[in-house]
Amino acid sequence: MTNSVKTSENNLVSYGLAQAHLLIAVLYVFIAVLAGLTFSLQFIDLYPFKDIALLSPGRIRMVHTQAVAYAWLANAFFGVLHYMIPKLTNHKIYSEKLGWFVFYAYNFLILATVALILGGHAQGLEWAETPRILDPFIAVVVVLFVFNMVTPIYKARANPYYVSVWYVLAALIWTPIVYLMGNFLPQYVFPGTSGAAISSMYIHDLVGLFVTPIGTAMAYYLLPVILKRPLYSHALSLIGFWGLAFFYPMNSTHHYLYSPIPMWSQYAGIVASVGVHIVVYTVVFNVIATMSQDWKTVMSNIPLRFLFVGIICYLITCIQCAVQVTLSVQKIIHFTDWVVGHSHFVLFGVFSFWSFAWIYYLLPRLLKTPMYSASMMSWHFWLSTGGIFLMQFDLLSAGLVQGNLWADLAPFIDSVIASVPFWWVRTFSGMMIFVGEALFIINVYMTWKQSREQTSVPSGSSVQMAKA
Amino acid sequence: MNHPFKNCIVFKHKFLRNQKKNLKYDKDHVTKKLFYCTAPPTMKKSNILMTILLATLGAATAFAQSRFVESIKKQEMIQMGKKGYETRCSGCHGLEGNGNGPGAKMLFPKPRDFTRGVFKFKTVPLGMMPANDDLLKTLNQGVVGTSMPSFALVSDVEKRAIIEYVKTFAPEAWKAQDLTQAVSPLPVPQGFFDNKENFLTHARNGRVWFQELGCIVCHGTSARGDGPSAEGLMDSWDQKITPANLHKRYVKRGYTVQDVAYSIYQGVDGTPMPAYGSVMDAAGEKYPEIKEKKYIWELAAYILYLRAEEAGLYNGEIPAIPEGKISPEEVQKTVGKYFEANN
Amino acid sequence: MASKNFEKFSSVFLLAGLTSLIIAFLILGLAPATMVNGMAPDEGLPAKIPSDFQKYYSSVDQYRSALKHGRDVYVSEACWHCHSQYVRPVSNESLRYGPVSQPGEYHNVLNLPQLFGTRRVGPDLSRESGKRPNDWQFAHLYNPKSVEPRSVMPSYGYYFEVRKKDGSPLKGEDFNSPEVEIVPKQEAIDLVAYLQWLGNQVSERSNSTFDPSAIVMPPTE
Repeated sequence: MTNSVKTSENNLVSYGLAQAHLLIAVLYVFIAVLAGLTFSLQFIDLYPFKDIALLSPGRIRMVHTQAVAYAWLANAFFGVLHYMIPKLTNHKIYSEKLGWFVFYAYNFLILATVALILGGHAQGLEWAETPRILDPFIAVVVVLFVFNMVTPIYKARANPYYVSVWYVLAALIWTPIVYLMGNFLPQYVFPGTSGAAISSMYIHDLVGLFVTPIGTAMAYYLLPVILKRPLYSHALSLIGFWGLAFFYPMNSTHHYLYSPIPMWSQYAGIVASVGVHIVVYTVVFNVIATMSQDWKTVMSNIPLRFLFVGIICYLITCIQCAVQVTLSVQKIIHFTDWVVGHSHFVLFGVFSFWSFAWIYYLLPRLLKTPMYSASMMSWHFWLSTGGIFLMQFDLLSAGLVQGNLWADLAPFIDSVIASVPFWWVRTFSGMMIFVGEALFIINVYMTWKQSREQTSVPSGSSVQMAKA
Repeated sequence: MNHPFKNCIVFKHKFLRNQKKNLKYDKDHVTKKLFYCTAPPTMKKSNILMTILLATLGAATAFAQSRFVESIKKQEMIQMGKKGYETRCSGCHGLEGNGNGPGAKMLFPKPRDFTRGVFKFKTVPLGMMPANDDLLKTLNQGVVGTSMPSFALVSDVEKRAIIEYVKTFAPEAWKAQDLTQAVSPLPVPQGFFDNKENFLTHARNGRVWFQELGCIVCHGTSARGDGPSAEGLMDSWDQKITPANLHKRYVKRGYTVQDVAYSIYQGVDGTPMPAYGSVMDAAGEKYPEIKEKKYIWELAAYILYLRAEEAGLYNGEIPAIPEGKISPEEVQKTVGKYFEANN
Repeated sequence: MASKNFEKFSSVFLLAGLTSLIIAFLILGLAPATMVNGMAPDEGLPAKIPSDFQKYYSSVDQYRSALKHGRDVYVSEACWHCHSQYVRPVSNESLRYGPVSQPGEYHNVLNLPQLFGTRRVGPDLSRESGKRPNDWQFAHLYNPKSVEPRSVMPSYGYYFEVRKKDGSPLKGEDFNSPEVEIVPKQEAIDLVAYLQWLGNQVSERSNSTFDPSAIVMPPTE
């Protein structure tokens, strides 16, 4: 540890760990968006790496989704948790050495995942394309991380938890179970429809039981801290939490509606998905009500702006979810670009935005340097917001066009031809997001470079020091 | 179609969905749905005179220009067909219609070369250009067992436009005659396929015809396309061609017994498959056993029997044709008399 | 502090959260599995080699392992991200693709894990078997635009070998000359074998393209 970070507060939080996770997350989000943008070029006939096996569009697509879920969001979450949990529980994590081991092992596994997917060894499960050979190792690393994080929460059990801790605790316990279930059962034990039922649980629970609770916890923490005002209602937030705990796991089969999976299971999924309304409205009401105490700060502060757009996206996306699972809507929009738009909205519009908010809030504190450029931050915000809303609108429309053409028994290629203009707009919106992400990574890099210069020549980079 | 609400825009949509089985996709369909007007526009009295005037004027113009308009319509149709052709057909058949598109290299049989003006599957006699309906049928069901897919989901208007465009590749060939309606001289006769016993009797006769008419020379005694003359057959497009394996549940022309009958009766243009109809109809005067085209249906029954045996519906009711006696000279003795009757 | 009392029983609530996940897993995950019988001893694989593949494979075992390999290629190229593998009973899909999917169809080792997919950039493939001949499949894999000019599917040229007819490599010859041929490598052959297997166990085929009232098969009674 450098001398400068040896205060009492910093003994609580492992700054180096949080910093390392967040910085590498910034790198990954850039790569993930780049991969997505590259893949989108295939649809408008501009794909640059034609007939190269290692960069085949299908493989790049899997790199895109894996990088978003496991490289970018997971690393950002891990970084934030390394800061948030000790702060909330007033206890240190179990072991900093273990933390560094998890950091290196996890990121090595991510690089191995990318290499193996590009080499053609992906697993055939949605959102679990991580090669089979790596699955057990990832499970072990995740369990170690969970152990590291649950320890301070357990130590602090005497006092009531802040709602964020509830969310994090739940996510930490669910995630390893969900991971083991989704990666091993359909792959080795259950073929066909029964495997699909479990696989759909994994697709949903990855978002519902890992990303959503940690993301919500992050929002609930950041908002009062920046606004310096209390959360509107703690009880309401708990209702939201328990709604999530009881409704989200049951949602799963709505990913395979009208499939050969037993119909009662699909009905259960639909009913539970409609129940998600409860969760959404409590969270959204609580956040907006807290924000309404001080709109001026919300609108001027970049992290809060990200948070605000995120919560709007969250509202839209969850209402969308509860509507699109109904069978009559599903009939048209399933298999179309609508679904793609929806998942971009969830993972980028909501949780990536909240992670951006956290990174903009936390990095200056970790690096002890203000962000390099405020205007770059602003540009990042506007390009990301514009990009995701344009993409959402575009893909939803494309989905309706495709679905109706299919229902009208148009020749299949006609639906492809009709989609091409939408795919151009999608690439354009992806370009906006990409430029925003490029500004983001430049901004973060310059900030990091400045912080290195500041912390005087002999001590070197805080990241490197922290590793030592 | 007598749905009480069929003109109501809301119900119409649902109604059409329910009627999908008969409804082919129509590109204007969406537009029609959006701008469908239920009530006819009401007319004021003052407008009636004007309408009559305009109508007279319009009729006169229309009459004067009818020929011109017709040709314009054809031009428009060809333009529309060109677009459709380039989207759906050009990959294999090529932009110039010479059957040498980018996809042709790896396909067998090769895609059709439209510039020669020869078409295989039609209901008209050998050498004539196919009727529009014949081409439409090929588009609708594809050529079974080849890379030609079914375009059943493409709208009828577009398919007809594409046919018009395809005709422009060989304008000379189509100048002579341009039929619209398919010719159907071959209704399935009564009593052939209604019960097992009748069917087997006819199929046994078909087995005799199969040898006597020389089918075995190319298709072989096994009817799997391995006869002594099967090697080295060429079609009119200078491509190698193999006789059909009749044990499959289709011939290229289609699935039904009528398709089989047409192939025997009209032959397959551009291939060594002869049109027995033109020979036998003329010889029918002399040989009463072939007078009512019964031999075609008996042959077709035999081929259907072969299919059914392959599919496991029958097992050995009719013995396979023994090897031997299939040199062209041998066959000449049996089928030759019908040919001689022509001269 | 009502919420404080509320949270006294935190361990109870923790259990409740865990239980909700487990209940969901039992109901939605395991219960459907109990409704299908165990896998057949031959793992649901075909008993003979289809006639079109007899020139590629000499034994049934070889064909079966080729199906598995073809499936691996299908997974590694992420084909299943753009082609779904089930036909829904809605949206006129049975007219377009063929009979609606039944659970039993998927109970074989080639569906471990299943490849249902959630997106259709291209058409559904669960009824692909026999729809197109092998040479079309090869041409389409080599360059989809060559047979479907407006297709957005990527080309998989690296699974093919471009060479002269006598087997020597290409040396500046014109690609279009008849002497040059494009030969599928083993991956492409296995992939096409897998594609042509998809849905071949379904006896009732899509027959929207011809008149079902016409006689196709003779009477059996």
